[in-house]
Amino acid sequence: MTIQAATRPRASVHDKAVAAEMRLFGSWTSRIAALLFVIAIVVVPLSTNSPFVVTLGITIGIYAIGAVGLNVLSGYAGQISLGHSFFVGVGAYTAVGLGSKLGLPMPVWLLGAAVVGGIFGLVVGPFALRLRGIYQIVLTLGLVYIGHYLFVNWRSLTGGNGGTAADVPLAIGGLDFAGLTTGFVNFSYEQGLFIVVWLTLAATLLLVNNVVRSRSGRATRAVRDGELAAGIAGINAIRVKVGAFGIAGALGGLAGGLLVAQLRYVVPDQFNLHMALQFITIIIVGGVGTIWGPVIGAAIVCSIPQITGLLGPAIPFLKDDFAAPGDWGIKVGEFNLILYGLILVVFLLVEPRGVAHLLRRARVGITVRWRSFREYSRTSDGGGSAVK
Amino acid sequence: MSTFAQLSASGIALGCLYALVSLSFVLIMKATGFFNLLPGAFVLLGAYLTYTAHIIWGLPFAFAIVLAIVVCSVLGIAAQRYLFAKASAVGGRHGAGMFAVLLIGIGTLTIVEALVVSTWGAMTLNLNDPWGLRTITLAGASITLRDVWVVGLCSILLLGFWLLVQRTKVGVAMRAMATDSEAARSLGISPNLISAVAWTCAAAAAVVAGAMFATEVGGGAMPTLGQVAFAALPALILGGADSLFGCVAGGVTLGLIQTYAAGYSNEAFGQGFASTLPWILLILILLIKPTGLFGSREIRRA
Repeated sequence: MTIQAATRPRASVHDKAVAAEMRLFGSWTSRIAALLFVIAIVVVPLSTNSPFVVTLGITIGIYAIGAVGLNVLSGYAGQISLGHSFFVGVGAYTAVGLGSKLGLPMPVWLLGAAVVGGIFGLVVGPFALRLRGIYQIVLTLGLVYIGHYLFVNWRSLTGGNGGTAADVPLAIGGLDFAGLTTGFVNFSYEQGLFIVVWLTLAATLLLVNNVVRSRSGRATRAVRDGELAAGIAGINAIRVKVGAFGIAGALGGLAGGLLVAQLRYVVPDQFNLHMALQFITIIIVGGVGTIWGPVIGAAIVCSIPQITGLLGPAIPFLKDDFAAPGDWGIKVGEFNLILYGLILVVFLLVEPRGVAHLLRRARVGITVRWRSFREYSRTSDGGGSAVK
Repeated sequence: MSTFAQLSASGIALGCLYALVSLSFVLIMKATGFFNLLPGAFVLLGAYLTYTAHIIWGLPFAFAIVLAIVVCSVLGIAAQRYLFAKASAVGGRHGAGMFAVLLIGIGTLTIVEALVVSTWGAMTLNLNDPWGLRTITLAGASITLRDVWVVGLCSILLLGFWLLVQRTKVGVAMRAMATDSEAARSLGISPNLISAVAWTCAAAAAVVAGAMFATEVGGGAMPTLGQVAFAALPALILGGADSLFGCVAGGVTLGLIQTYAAGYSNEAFGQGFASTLPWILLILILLIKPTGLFGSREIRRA
């Protein structure tokens, strides 16, 4: 490949496109942006003492990690899953067992949550892939119910219906994120967790980005766009799709483990259909099949409960509890569900490619205008007519 | 023996209701070509609308159900025209279109359920149905009059649907649409008319199921009825998701399994065993026979 390219007089458009895709950071701008992103992960939580910002940031990070996994499955491999909350639950209870019950250090329970989630993904994958359409939808939905049954009845681990309290250690080597200190200032548990969550998210994005740009990533998209053609080209479609289920399960499990670290209390009812719906809404709103879509979507969807919580008292029909007979009002939690459903429907009808696509279009629009503006000023300097 | 007979009777009654709910899914799938969960919302909405019409407005029970069916079918037809038709026009039958219709269905289902709970509250509302707690004795088992009515009503509805689909002009058009929508349209069959008829039938099946679920002894209209839409899905798959008789067979199988599991299992099986067993069986069956127990259609492509 490299020898061929070297002996060729000029690289073709296709070669350039492949080379551009192979580069992780295509331009200086993206390199600087990546650096700024990592710096912000450390600086933002430590520079604010608003628990609101830190808590919201943690939630967004956790849901983004899980959504990146679902996005690999739905966006890149084109498989439908209504059971993503099952993998999140599996990861959560792995973290409870390893981190809280056995007291193992953070690298162990965090990786353990991902590995166990991934194993479940690899086990479920072949089952789901035997089926298509509605059969696959119903099977993944069944995971949520079977998962709930397992979680409720494994009392020694999960505490049954009432749930269980779980404190997981956040130390890695000598660095304890649960009690960061600079010698003068002591930082809170949440501030440390923010850094852990977002560093994990950054690692996840890097990893998934690498997979997507590799041979197996192209194979995955080829299977999504035309399974028969991909098979003729020598791609093992089943292996590709099972792999996508594995990644989805692993990242769902990772999100579940971090969710335990944030909430420090786990109830089986959390991992229900509404959580699965939330993940689906995140990837649709953000942009299916894009790298940053899940993060953007998580930022929007996870902000909804916080915003309605803040504005709640100002909106007359919002109530803390269910309405009493004869009095109409929406419970805050139900109102959030309505909003999730509403933005899901609106995005699917108006912009199915999500916010990521809107942003890309805006960026392209700006660069095109900027270029034509430069072109125009150059040519008009030389006394020529305007371009185009 | 009498326990067995008793369980069988209530299992069949439960199964008939599952059959109605899964039939509402099948009707929409046949007429529009897309799997859609919105009819499941009519189970919940129908029960509460029946409550309002019967208890608050004082209309007769049967008339209250008819009113609920009318409201739900109008909602369904409107959703089809303004939401689902738009989404499916963009995406096509497989891939994006199916994904979009499914998700819009789930989105609207969530919205309807949240609005219902907000409007009627979280308490169980007694429907005050005409049967009450009366029972009849049959073959050593005392069966509630309500169960007899459930089976009877379901049979009448199913027979009605069967006659509609097999013996009327609209039914022939519906079947033509399900077999080959392009050819049917080119022969002048209006997809709007067909989907409107299908939504009305689906609403009728779902509302009757919802109202009858709410008349269960010790039950009533309550928010957990929303779960029925999902609990009926194993019946849909068991029945093969393509025919009226598949729905009945799948529904009754599911109802019997669930009732026997609830009646004969002990605490060692764990909490929620009866409601989880159908899902476990479903996965086992799909592994052995991916077309469902009674299905005929080839569901694997390539």
